[in-house]
Amino acid sequence: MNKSFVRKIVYLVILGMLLVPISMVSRPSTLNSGSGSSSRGNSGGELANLRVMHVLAQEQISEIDPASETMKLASLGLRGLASLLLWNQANEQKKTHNFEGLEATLNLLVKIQPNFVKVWDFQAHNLSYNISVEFDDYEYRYHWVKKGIRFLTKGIAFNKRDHRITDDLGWFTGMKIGYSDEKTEFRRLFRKDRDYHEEMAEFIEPDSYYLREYEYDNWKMAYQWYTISRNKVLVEGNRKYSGDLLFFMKRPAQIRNMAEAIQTENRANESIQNFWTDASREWMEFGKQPLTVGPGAPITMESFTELDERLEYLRGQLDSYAPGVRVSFRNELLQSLNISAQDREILDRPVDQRSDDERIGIREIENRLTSSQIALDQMVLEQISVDNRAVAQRIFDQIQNTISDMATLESNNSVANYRYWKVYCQVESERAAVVAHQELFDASELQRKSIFDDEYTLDPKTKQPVITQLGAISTYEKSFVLWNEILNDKPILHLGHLADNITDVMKKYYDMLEMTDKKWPRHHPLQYLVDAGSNLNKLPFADEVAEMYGEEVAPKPIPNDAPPAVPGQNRNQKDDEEE
Amino acid sequence: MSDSQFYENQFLKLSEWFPGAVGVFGPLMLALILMGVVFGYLVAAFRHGAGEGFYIVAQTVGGFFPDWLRMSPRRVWAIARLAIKEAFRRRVVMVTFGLFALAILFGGWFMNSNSDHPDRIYVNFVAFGTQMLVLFMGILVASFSLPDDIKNKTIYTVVTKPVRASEIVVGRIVGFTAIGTALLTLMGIVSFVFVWGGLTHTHQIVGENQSIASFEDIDPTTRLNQLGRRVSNGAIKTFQTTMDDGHRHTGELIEDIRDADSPPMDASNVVSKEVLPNGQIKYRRVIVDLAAGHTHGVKVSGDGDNATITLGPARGFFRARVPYYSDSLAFFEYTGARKEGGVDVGRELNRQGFFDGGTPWLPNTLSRAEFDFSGIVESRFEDPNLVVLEMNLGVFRTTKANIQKRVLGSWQIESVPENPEEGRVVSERFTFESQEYQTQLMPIKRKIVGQKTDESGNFEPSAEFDLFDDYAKNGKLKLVLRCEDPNQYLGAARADVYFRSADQPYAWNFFKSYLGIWAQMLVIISLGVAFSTFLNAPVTIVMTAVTMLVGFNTEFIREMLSPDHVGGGPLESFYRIVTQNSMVLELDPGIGSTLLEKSDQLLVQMLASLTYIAPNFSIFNFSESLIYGYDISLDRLGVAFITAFAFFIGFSILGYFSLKTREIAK
Repeated sequence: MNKSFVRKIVYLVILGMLLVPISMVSRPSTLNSGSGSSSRGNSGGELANLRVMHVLAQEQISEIDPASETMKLASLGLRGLASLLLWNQANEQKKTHNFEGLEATLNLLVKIQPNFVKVWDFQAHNLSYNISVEFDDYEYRYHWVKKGIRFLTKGIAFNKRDHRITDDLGWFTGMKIGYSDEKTEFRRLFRKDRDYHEEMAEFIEPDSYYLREYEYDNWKMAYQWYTISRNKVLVEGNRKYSGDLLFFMKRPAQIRNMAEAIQTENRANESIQNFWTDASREWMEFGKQPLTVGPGAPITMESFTELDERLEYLRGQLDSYAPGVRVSFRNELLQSLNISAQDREILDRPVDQRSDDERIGIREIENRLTSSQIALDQMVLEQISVDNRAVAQRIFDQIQNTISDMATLESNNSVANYRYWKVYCQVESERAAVVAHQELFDASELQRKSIFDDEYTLDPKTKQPVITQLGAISTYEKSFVLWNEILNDKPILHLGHLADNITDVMKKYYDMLEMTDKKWPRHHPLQYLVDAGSNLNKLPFADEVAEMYGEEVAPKPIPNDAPPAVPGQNRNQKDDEEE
Repeated sequence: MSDSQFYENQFLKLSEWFPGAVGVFGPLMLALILMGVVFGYLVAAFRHGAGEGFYIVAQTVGGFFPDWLRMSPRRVWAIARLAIKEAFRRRVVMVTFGLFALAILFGGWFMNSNSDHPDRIYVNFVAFGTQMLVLFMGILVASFSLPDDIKNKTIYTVVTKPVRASEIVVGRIVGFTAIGTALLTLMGIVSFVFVWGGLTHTHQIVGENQSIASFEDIDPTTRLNQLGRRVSNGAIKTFQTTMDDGHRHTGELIEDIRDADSPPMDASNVVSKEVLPNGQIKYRRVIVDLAAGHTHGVKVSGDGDNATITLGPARGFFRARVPYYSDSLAFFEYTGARKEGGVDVGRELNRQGFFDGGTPWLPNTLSRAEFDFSGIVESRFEDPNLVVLEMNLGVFRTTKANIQKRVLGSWQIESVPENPEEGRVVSERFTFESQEYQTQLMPIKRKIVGQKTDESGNFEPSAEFDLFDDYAKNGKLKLVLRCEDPNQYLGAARADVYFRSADQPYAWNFFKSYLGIWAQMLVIISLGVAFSTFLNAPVTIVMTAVTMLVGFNTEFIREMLSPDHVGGGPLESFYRIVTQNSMVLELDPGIGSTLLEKSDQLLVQMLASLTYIAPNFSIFNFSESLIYGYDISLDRLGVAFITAFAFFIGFSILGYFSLKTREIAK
């Protein structure tokens, strides 16, 4: 027989034999249909089982798109190569500013690799962030930001169990539209963009982010995207790809951003106050959310007080076995540390009544005290009689665990800035803040109209000037007094976002004083914000103010003692000289 | 084709190209002929001995001229007919058309309906699809024909007839080209209908009726329309159109006050006109804003507020603009000194040069871009009273400045007298708002206010001068562009600023772009037939496909020879990919890297040599012009046809000699 023929037969037999294991491994699962519902009939081969186990089966991760499947088939198993070529083409088109071409290429790319979340994420970022800024006109920028968002929404159906795409949608909708240089213009366009909202209705009901007189709000829409993400994980039980803290903190933050954006754009009122109330409630709910942030039991951001109380209780329990030991050891320690009276006063105050710089200032002492406290616990334990030692040891271990939880909580607080935003939202949701914001808004409007000084008429009877309308300077001063009342017992707010916003306003106020040839008030009600602020701040610090008024020593004004400036009585240079 | 290559090709002039092309092609052909003779002799000498070999070579070369001179068109056509029948028998043509039909039927699945330029997506889809299908069909029919005939010995039924080797080669090329032409014509017609049908649409005005009564007032304080967008100067009302084909337009009712002698370019959208006390005329016109790369014409029936407003078909999709480019572009920096290529603002694609608008401390910057035009004569323009200048300017901001406002620029024209002592005429500066990534239309009136210089170079009082009789008296004109915003930059390249003549018909441009595909097909078929005379079918397919790929990537391959090319040649690049080495880092010195480098040099050199044998396909590719709406000039068509015919003749000769050396055709 012909040798070549025999060889061919042998090859065919080998091929046939190979088909058996391949068929066993890759046999697809089948569905049993009956009585209106489908159930899995045959579980299929090993590959099918692995797909189910890792949630990789096409019907599990996405909807079947004919165009996408056609592309996958057409690439004849060379999907990787095809996507590489398209990726390079997209890069080249971006380089040559062929943006329409790039968009078309990306649409093909995601049809080939629709379940690769990073492709959606990276290229959507490219469209919304990198390409949008290539355009000089902000209307075009907005148009391209939306293209990135629209691109991402197409990825939802292909990755229906994955929350990362909806997370990105929340991020783009919130941060890119509400936090970029063009935020005023972007938000204005967003508010009116009915076509876009109708288009997005497939995913989010437009009414859920429509705020009556403030129309459609991007931050509220971002909140809704994060809600979808949250539901994917908590309700549908899908995998969570980020840490608890980052995953849960973004959603409530959007309501806070919404309240702040609307307040910046409008005169404060009851509706805006309600937004702040919502923001506060959302943030507090986040505070109660159990977070797994490391080994051990989940913590909540609100558990500071609870842990403080628990620690105090446990130490009390421990001390009850060796009364007076801790006090005497602590006194010895404080003496050895040579702590100033001022620092001692801060140390004695509860943690949430310390300002950020106070906390920073005593951080080293606190660290030493904390480590010493642990040493003190050990010392107390050692003083306990042998009979009670076993019980005491258990309490000591509980103390150690509580301290460890507190350290974890503190490090997470520095990421979420939980306590700051909690106080901030609470302050903003009070009536006093509404009035203070109204004054700021009015002052800003007066300044825009160049009405800096008060307007007077002469009373015909008394021959005294009577103010008919406050100018911008007086209105600002009025608001500073109100802000002082709000802030003076909230040291945590003396540094940070709110303080920065108010000092920005104070800069405008300072500019007006300079323009109208007036001096910075000797006792500005919010001088402590300036003094606590950055050195880059151009406002006069307490020392400079003192020098300005010819004082050699400038005592640091204490907030509560500072007499507020009297509204309507602007201090000009002449007045001060007379003083 | 790369972006820069597209713009370079826009300036192609047949008269300038031809001498250079002959200079390259002539010596190359001579060298190839010499190499062929030497190679032929070596083979013949090896097989038949030195003397006999010489005789065989001399006989083959000597037979060339009589064979070609006595070529009979009748016999060529007979062979061509056989080739056509064969192509039909192979069903390649039907399969190609079937694939094309499938692509057209399901193409919509893969096209982005929300694109800013659906026209470009549509045209690119059909042009690229047609090109690829036709070329692959060309490769297949040309590659299988002769090898199969030789293998099946059916070639003997031909060669035993009184037919010449030249006729066999040329006949096959002609036959396959004829069948390809028929297919291409069919595909062209279907494509045109597909593009035209897919893009043709109109809209209606949103509101109770199709009149100004449905328009909304513009808030005079914000000057924004109902979508929160800025409105044009003079706009008093706005409207929206219905959503059709995935987009909607906004539009405006504008008040346009003009001199009595300069009516609006488009009179069909005028709702009313009113003569003002100063003699000027206030026109109220309805305009439609740009969306999805086009706008719509407006037809007004009736008069005043109750006039019916009808939107016409899309404007801006089907156009073939005829641009008059400048001869040269020069940039000047803030001191007035010449700056080669303009300021580089750090863009990755350095196509445009930039010029600044000074700084608040140095507002009188001398930065500018000067475009020198020639041949500016009345007869070149559709309406000499209103010449259209088009610009595609780049914008670069060094500071955010006022986001709400676009960066300002200005244009100015100057005469360029032959004699420097003759006075110059310089127009006043006309300021405009830049519109990056949009084509800006700048209508220039024939009479432009300017100043003339006297003998001593001083400016005389302002007066009106004529564009053709004063500014471009000798056909030459200088256009000066400046950036008028401090701290900001405008950018331009030579292809970005041009005067525009009357458009060519779009269908004619579409046809011309398919002629480019036809020329490519001719080259590919010639290549395939020539290769098939000495290679078997699979190798011919590979060789033709590789040559085609080289032709498509000519620039890239030549670029690899450049010392500036980062990442090395193919082997070094592969090494870097495998080892995840950065492209910009030098490889560690050593024998390995030297070996890589030298092997790459050899490979790239070989590839680069191939680029001179394979045609540069970018000269045949007119689809970019069609996509961007520019007329394909006859110069470019001429270059493409001459090149294609040169390759056709060259490869026919190669095929002839190859066939002659084989036993079958003797």
